[in-house]
Amino acid sequence: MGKTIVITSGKGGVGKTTTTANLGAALAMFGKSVVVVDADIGLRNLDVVMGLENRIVYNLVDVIEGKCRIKQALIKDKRYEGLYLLAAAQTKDKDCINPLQMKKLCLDLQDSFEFVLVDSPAGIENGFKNAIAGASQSIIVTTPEISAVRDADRIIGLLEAGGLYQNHLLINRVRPDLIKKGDMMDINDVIDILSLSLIGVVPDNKDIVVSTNKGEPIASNDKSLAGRAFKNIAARLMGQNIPFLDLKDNTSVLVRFAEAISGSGR
Amino acid sequence: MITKTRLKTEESKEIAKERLKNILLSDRINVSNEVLDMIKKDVVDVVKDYFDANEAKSEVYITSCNEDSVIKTSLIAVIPINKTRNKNKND
Repeated sequence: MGKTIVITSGKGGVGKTTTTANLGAALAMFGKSVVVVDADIGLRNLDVVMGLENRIVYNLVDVIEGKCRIKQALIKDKRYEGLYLLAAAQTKDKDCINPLQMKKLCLDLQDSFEFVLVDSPAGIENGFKNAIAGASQSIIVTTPEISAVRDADRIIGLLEAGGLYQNHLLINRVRPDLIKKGDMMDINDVIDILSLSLIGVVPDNKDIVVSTNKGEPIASNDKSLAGRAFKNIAARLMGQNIPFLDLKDNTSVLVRFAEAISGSGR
Repeated sequence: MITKTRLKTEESKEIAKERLKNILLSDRINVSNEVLDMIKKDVVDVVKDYFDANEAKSEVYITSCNEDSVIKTSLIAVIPINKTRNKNKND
């Protein structure tokens, strides 16, 4: 029996899909069985980020409407043993499924997979409600910007109102150079404001753009700091205690943050 | 308060933090009427131990005002008192 984790944010464009793809790949690299589910019906992208867009036959809506069995709709990622994708429908809209159906789907997937990662759409409407319906945990992705943090705060409130209390914070697109100059909120600032336990910090990194262009998850690239950050987050999801990365090798600023965080994580 | 946090005047992240804290304060304070009713009941119950409070005419609400570009939020409870206990005795 696996668990369902929803990756959500409120605000769009903060890196939910990239996070889902990379955590899926990283968990599979650690030998876990994983299915990543694209719950962004009508605007599917997870397949593209993972480089699996040419292999989709059936999608999530087909499964829910009974047009195919779950196994027929699961796309095996041949690069990572144990990793599967359930794509969203591109031609339907978010209202064609409901939270109860989504919950049942997640429960069914949990029978065959250790991790079910649901990529939530942006926003707080039906698509979001569907995405969180089957989850017992969440990863809230934010960036150190006012608008993203504000939306994350709203999402935390909605998750708790929906009975989801195991929520983790992932701070994405961190720029150590800007933090050093005092032009970007640092990790502790964001944690203080949201009072949520931190699961990882991912640097803003050109490697991610390149890997998305190619459709190859960055998590498999150990030379990339962002790739290592995602791998560490996957390990933490598996219950391992991994220290936070020093995002800039030649500065101690983030080491200090990371040390402070790992000592005081709520 | 604001001058204290802006000691390092050039750091734009301090401005961001200050703005964000104010935004979240007003976002989070959006409590439902149900919650306000529960607060009202609790507050009136406490006051009733000391005064003859008029529960029907009591009001509890949240108000925000902008002081020096800092949003200050307060919970206001208005609880009319019918008679003090002493007066009660005289009746």
